[in-house]
Amino acid sequence: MKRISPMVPLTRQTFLAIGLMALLSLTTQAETNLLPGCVAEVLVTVQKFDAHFPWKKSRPESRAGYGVVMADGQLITTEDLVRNAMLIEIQHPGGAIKTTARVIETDPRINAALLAAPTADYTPAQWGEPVRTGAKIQIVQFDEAGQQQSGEGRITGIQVAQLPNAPLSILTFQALTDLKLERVGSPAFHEGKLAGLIMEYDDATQTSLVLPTAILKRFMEDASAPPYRGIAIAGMTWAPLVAPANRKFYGLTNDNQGVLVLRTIPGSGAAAVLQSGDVILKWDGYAIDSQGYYTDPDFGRLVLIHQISGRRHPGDIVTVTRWRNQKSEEVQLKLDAYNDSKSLVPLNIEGEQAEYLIEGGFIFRELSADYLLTYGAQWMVRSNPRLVDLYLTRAQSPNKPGERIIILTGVLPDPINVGYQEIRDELVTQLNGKPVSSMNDVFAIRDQDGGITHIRLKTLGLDLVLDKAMLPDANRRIATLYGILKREHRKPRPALGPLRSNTIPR
Amino acid sequence: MSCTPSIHHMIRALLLSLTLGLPLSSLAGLDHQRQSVVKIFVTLQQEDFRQPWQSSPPMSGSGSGFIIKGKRLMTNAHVVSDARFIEVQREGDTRKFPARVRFIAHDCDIAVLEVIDEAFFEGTQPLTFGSSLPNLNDAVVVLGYPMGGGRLSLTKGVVSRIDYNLYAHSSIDSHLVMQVDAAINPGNSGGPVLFNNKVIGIAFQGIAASQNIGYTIPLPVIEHFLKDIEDGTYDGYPELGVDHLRTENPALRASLGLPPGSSGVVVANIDPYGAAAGLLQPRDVLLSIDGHPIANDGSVKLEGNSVEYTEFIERKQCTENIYFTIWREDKTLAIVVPLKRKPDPFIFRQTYDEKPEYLIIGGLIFSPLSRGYLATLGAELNTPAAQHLLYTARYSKLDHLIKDRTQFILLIGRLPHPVNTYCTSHFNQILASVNGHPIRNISDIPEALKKSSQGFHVFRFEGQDDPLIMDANQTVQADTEILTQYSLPSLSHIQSQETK
Repeated sequence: MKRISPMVPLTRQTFLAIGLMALLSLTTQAETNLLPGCVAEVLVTVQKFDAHFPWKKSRPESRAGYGVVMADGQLITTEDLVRNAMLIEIQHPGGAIKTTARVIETDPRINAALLAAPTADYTPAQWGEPVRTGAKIQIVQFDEAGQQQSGEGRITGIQVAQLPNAPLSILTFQALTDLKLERVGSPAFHEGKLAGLIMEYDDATQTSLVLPTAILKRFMEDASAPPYRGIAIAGMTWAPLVAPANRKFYGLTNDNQGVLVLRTIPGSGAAAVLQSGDVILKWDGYAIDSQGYYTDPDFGRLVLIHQISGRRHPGDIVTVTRWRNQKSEEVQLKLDAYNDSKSLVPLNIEGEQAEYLIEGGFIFRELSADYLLTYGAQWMVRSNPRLVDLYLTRAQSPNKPGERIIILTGVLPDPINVGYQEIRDELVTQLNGKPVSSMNDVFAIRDQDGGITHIRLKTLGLDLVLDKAMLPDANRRIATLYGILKREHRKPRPALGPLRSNTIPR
Repeated sequence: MSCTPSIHHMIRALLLSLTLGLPLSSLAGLDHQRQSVVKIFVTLQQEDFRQPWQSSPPMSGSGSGFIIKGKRLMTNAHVVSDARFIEVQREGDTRKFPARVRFIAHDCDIAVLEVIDEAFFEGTQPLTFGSSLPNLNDAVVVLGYPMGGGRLSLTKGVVSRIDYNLYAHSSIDSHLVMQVDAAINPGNSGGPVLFNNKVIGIAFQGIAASQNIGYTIPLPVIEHFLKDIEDGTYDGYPELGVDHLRTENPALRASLGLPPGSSGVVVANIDPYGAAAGLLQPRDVLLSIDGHPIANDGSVKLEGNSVEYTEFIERKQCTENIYFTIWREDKTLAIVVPLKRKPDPFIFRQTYDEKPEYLIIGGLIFSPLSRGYLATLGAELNTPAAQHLLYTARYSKLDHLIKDRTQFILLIGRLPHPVNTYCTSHFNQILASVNGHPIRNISDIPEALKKSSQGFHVFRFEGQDDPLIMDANQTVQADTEILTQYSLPSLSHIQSQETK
């Protein structure tokens, strides 16, 4: 390994000349044995669907970040870098030759992506061992000329936290660095081995949020052996049980142990063996304290959630000690896979195109979190309070499997819908006199009746009516006038029904 | 559609660029009118919806008013709301006279005052009201005591627009408003707007960051108020309680079976607290009102003008009738709706001169959901619990959230004490039950607390699976201590059911 003095100006040409030898830190004096030959620049062209007008796509934009080669032909990076990608290319930092990459698997819940690309001229990195608070790390990025900038950093916090718009919390590190980070996916190394990828960097506090190896390694193993199993959930909500009065009320006289089960999701593994009011004393062999913490062998004191989603896979069976009726018993709980499509209001973090139907200028779709977020940072106060409340209070609680909220997002003005054109963001309860609780229902009613002519909104005590004879012409006219290529989008569905099976074969 | 409440702060009067009054010498003919415009000094204390046992520190404010017949003064309700002490002063007189509120109409922002010492009225003539509204572009004069000086100010302008608009004082009522381009500034509130030396309006509100837009309460609203108080009490505007949908769509008209040539609006919802409850129903088409045909867009031709059909209800008093012909199930029917105003706890009108109810148990503060409370939330509005309250305030009737309640009781805060050390969640959530007893209003709580469940008080909240639990034996002692520590006048303020 050759050390390049920061005093020697390196031009692009000299860098290319020495190729992969331009390895070492320009900004720190620390001796290092890391292998930056594992880092690739990931260049992504993105085009998002417009959640508000789901037939439209946004203008293509470019993103750039880093990925780390972990095995021959495979790179890991953060999912938010490659989300909605039309084209992914990789190149050596500062290099000129771009190679096309493709996605093997992404999981927006944990912000991880596995890419496939030719990586013959890269040297795979090695997975690091779990690190603890206070561990020193080196964070690597490259300048325009491809010269490596390396920053010293320290892990200042290990916590189970929620990623932006994500449904679940996962293990994350916080790190303080002396390098101003420019892009996502910058790798952090500990003793020359990968410790994690940078997800966010805050200039003001010089703090970055790191996706740790513990998550990435499990993800890559899972993604490399299809079918991808994903992140495990128990199917319940729980709360700390600290207050002495509450502990007494639930008959707990002992030490500071146990959390309260609030609610279980019908059909989940938790629902089979737990109920509201149960107290969880132990999970998978670890004692759970009254705030929901246990002592993780790798990371120290962590919240129970990491036990469920960070150490186990969907389909695994864990032993839970529950306290019910003044008795402590062990039960076996089968973990499920998190499945956004089971929600009443899906999150759709991945920004998939929404199913929609435009009929007589009425735009129908399902309510989702990404739709509400089109109202911007102030979405809670700017969008319809009824829709906001449904999302905030019932997102995970459909009354029956597959139930969704159908909304009329707006009306594209045309003579057929005169008198209705100011209506927007209303909840639809019935179409043609039949109840609707999914886009499946909407399409079925349209197909069966040859058109949607009677629309019942939750707000109004009578149907809005469209002229059936005018409908075909109006639909054509509206599509032409508003430049709508497809009047509807319907996802292909599995033959068995709208939902994937709970059990994950393995 | 009836007006839907939106949560925003009250606009009392707003800054416009300062315009000086015209020289008084050029105002021959306005002498006695000037004599009759008075300045009103108010010391007020607003209610504190976060700490409902106390009011704000005393604040002083001023507004304008004018002498009307019967030795009374007319002004805006917002000038004298929450007043502890009122004084009035005539132009050019150094004396201030104590006054008191005789009638106050929060729904149309008008109040009538009495002056305790009638000597105040010596040598004055009451202002008289005009007989009809001026037209657009007619010149009007605004008198009052706006900011920028102590003496009477006069500004001139023309009538710019006459339209329905929100009355900011109650935050939910809409009535006719006359917009003028004369400068109207803080302090003008309650002053008269004159046309041909007669009162045709009262200055009352403006729009922040606008120019030359001053809002005045026009003659028809003043006349409605004066007629209402003839019997010695103010009842308020009747509420019809009908949400309608226009029937401009031919397919909608056909589905309602409306015969060709007939027109009207279709009832979409009926407010259970409105006068039409039980008489009209969704799908009824309102064909005519008091003999005047209603167009498909809800307008009615009246004296050559096109007005909303609701204008007819605006002009009526409670106890009067309104006559509809309606189309229901392929038949024309005549329906008489006796107009009234039922007490509606779920309209969430801004309240004044009324102490918020509250109850403290173990240092936890419970109080009913109100517009005044929502207005205190500020940055907390971006929390799920506050969003649920906004939703509840707006949709409690339509989405059947009321059930058998007469109030939504919230946990609004905590006075820290060892008894409630761990009670740090559930703020802004709606109380569902206490010790298993459903809570329909604040009076239910003391009753429910009498029966603790096995030595615990168990508070359950709407949509929440974890109850809040207190040791029942500790709360009584704790509340005695809390009463002293936090200098509370009382652990509760609950109005009797009769006065509600």
